Amino acid sequence: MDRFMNNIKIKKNRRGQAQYFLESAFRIGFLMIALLAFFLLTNFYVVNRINTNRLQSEVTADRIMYSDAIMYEENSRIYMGIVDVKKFNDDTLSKKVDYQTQKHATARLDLRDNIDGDIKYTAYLNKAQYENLYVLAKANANGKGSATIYTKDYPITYKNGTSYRYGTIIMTIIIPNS
Amino acid sequence: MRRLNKRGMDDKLMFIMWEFIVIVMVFVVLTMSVRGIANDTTYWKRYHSADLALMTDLIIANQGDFTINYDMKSLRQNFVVKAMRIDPLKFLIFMKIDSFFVYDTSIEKDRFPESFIFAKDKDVIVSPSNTSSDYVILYKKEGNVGMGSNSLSESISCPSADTKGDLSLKSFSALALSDDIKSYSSFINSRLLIVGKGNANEALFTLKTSTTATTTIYYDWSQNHISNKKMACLIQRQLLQKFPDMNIVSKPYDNSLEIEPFVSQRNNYMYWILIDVNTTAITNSNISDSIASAIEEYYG
Repeated sequence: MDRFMNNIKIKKNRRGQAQYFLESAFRIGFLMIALLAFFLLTNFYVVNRINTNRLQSEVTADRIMYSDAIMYEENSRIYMGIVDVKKFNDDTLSKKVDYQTQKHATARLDLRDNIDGDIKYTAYLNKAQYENLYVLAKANANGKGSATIYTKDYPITYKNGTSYRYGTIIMTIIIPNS
Repeated sequence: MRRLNKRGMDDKLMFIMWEFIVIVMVFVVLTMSVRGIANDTTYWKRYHSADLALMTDLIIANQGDFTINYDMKSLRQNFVVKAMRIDPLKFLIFMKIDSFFVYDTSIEKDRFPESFIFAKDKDVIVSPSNTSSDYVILYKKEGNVGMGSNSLSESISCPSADTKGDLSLKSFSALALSDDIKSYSSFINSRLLIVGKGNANEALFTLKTSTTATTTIYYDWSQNHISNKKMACLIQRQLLQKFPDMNIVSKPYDNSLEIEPFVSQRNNYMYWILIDVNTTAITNSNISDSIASAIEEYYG
């Protein structure tokens, strides 16, 4: 009789335990899913990266166009919008926009005459880096090590000796992806 | 049966207690996680280093003198910030010759500071410096770019007009508008004889005793206004270096002091400056030194 009763007791206990275990397993499983969702969402929404590529391209363009880098200068006064072709070369650009490291903004400047449409002058900022990054960017290589191309056009007047002509500077800026 | 129920209740109690422990653990983990996210300053290090570097890029390209008062990110103190024990942001900023490094000083050894490179100009000198202030002042002065955390009043930026000139050809005079300030004008005149040794009447410094605690430097706005403003600003800056807490202002002349012999004398000079001096605080040697230094800076 005692043996019979013990069997019943164990059966009853096991049933109770299994029921509570299943209930708890469901709760714990749900909790785990909620926690996982919390960490995924926080990691997704917490921003730690800043993409400054476009801003860097704008700063580089402004740096070249609104300074004495390539603009005509007379009596310590700079005439914005009038490009002096004597300054329109790689040396002047690297002197005026001098990145101490190679891995930074690069640019190609084409000066196009508005009358005949020909590219009259070309100058580079950091030419070696430009040629390396241009290939990668044009090959649609993404991520670190590659780069992004930005293009800007500026209508200008260019001064060659004593003659002034209308032209456009086509600026191709390449910013390495960070 | 009663014994069976008690065993079942014991088991249930064990499960509830275990669940309670899990809830406490989850709460602690979540709190630590949120605090960790709130205390993570990587974003702000990146933000400030990039922002300061790109601004320096533009300062270097700019042709004149330039001052930027840059406010650092500060953390608003409220109940949540206090309850979560979130540390206030403290950064140490190093301006190097080509980049900005931003360290988080709350981390004992911040081994990976954020840095950002700016483009230099070979004609512009960048003076490396560092600060851990709540705000930084970026400035360009006569081809030198630097960073500091001086008070705003000391960082006045004067017009960058080209006023270079040969002092050996020019002469300067001081004129007192009342007897009580004649000792000042004679002191300044003797000092100005050393600075300008020529005959060309260049600038007239007219002096008046101020009835208030403010020293006001008026400049002629009708002609050569940028050059005049620059001279007044340089005198103001020199005086503020000596008296940083004093109220010293420069402003355009408003025709309020049309006093003889000022009216008859001023047209004999290229420039004129009228100084309403607080004589109780500023001595004749202070003002003569400031004017002489300003002239040397102006023509140098």
